[in-house]
Amino acid sequence: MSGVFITDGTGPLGKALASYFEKEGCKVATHPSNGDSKSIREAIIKAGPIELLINNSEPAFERLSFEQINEKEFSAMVSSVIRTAFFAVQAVQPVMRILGRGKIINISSSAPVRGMLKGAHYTAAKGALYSLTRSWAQELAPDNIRVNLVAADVGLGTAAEDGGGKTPFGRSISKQDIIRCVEFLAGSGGNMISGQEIIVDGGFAKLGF
Amino acid sequence: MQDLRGNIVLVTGAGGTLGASHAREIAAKGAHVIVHDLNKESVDAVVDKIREVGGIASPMVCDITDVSAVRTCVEKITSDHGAISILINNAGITGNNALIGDIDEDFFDRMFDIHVKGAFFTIQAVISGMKAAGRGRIVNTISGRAHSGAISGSHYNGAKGAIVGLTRALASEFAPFGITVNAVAPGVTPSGMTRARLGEGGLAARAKQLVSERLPTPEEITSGVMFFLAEEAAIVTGRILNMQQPRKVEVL
Repeated sequence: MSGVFITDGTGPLGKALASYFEKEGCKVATHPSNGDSKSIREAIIKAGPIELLINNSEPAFERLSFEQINEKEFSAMVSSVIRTAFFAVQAVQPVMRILGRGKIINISSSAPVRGMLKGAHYTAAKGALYSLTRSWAQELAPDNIRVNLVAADVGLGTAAEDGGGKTPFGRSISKQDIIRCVEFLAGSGGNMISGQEIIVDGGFAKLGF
Repeated sequence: MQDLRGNIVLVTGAGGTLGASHAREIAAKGAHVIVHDLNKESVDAVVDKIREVGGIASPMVCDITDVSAVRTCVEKITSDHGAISILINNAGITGNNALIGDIDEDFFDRMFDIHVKGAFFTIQAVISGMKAAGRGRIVNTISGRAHSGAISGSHYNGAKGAIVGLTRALASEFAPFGITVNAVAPGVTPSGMTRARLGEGGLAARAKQLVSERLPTPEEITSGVMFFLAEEAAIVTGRILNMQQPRKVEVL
């Protein structure tokens, strides 16, 4: 794995992923998850050959009940999570096509699977990534690109709205738990895996839907 | 027989084939149907058809992406007729089988605005009435493609995936108020939209790929919506009824 591009590279998980791949000797470039297609495209072109794109987005949001989420908050969420990923994939496809291979990992959440209280805009935005993963896996296979999703619920269960509880294993999810999973998919173990989702939530989602 | 008398039901995008089918069937069960679409002629045609057979229908013409317009329409309906007790989020547009490299920002934004923002804020406009009544049903429309993926139209499929997340989040949030939130996921169904995208030949080719070798009728998709409206389905929430038919599997 040589070139790695990570969106929301300054978020806690993004930073941890960047430093992991740097230690592995990869050339890592990051970009904010700002939904700005032009700046994303420019950053991807500037980064050079990218073999791994990690569509990470860790939008900070207030835990608002559904009625309180206004148009501005809704659009900001769509932009940060979906727009960023969509236009990063659009920009990276020609790069990976020239390279002859590539891997894309979409970082989502277990919220679209288990449901979530007070975070309908976040759940919707992260839910789009599941369907985008399944579609891109099919569309980009002819370019030798694998697309998978990792549901990364770092610190899941610590917010009061989630019951303030822990996973069935008695501890919450660490950034290391996510890195191990991303490492597997990015490595040769993931070579024939595409269109899949791995939900790293300590079994939490199965308690929901 | 299912009895929806006394309900006021908003069906968005009801000028289209599927929405019109939902609206007609819901009216046939005695509900007052609010027929919504962007285009007045298509709305009037459906309203007239329902009234011709003795049903109760009223028009609602507005742009579903215009949050304040939707809110104003819903307020007027509520003061004229009473609170909306059932919402069918059906409005949508085609992804036109576009490849990712060909989807510009305008097409991307329109896709998410109509499907996700439209559904999100239409629900927001009707929810206080449902909460006050202590009951309500919301049925969203996604697509089999949200689950299966497809080789094209990823912006469409992604928007439908967002509605899966929304459905589950709101099911959790509204359950204490006696409101259920579910979704139907149709496969390709002959309609104005799919005919424009695939043509008659394309539709026939799709049918051949299915184990049943036939496409569903709009009325068959409506039957899925009607299930979630049944009195007996009060505990069913956060669920997706996948009506996409299995395809024949051919090993390459």
